[in-house]
Amino acid sequence: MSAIQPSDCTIFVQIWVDTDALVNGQTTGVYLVDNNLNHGSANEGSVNLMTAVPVGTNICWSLLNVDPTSDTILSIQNFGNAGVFGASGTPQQVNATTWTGTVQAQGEDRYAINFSAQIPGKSGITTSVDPTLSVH
Amino acid sequence: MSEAVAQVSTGRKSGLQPQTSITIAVDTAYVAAQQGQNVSKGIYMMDNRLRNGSTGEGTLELSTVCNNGDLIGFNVVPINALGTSGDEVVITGFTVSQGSVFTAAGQPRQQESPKGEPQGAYWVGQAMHQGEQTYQIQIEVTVGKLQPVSYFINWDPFITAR
Repeated sequence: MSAIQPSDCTIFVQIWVDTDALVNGQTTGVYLVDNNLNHGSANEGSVNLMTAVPVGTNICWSLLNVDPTSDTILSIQNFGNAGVFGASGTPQQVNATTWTGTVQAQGEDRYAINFSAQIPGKSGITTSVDPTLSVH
Repeated sequence: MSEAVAQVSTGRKSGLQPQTSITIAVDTAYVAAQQGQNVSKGIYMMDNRLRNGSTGEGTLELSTVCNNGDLIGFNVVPINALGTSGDEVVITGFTVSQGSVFTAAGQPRQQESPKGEPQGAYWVGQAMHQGEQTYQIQIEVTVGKLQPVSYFINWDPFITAR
């Protein structure tokens, strides 16, 4: 199944990374925001972002460097499963830093986003965040 | 898999390599819902100086701690950059409210934007003087395609150069 295009999404989650502060397995220097403060999202700007959306919403996640001139290669490895993604909504890869999915079931779940940062000349850093989706 | 999807913040066009980078992510729908008035949420600032002692990460009132002499990049992006809304955000200017870190010589100037971002989305300044500074940043948030509406927002974050 091919991934949903970002242009078909209404909710966008950005995962901003300060690669200078990033540590293997930790979430220091990672900040999540979405475009949904009007409709009940909470904990914006933190790793505990809670995105509140109705069933059927297409969501696009982007992994981004706070420094737009950085040579560091960021990459989303995968998403953990969660009940709110239902039978077929689990996020799929669009490109290395962009994934899209659909919430198909009501409920509130934490979901894992596993990602890596390859800083030139250094060993790679792998970590994950587990923000919340609240689906009504 | 499509390769046609624009990515934000991946370009390097200005030629400058700021040691300190500040990102401003904007929830354009929230700003529009407030009609641009009294916006104290929906705009999130992050920098790459957490290990240097910056505080307020992920909030409107970021307090950046940089090193004296640092070039400081400011990049503003709409959170729905990959969507079809066409919403745009650009920086329209900086003033210093209190203190002097930029001085006249380090006052931020507009640079060529990263790939996929409009002109005005990326500015670079320089910390020319040790100390603390409260600066005011003004952005223009434009929402809608057929009849775009612009809102001008300003607020007062902080920079300490040591």
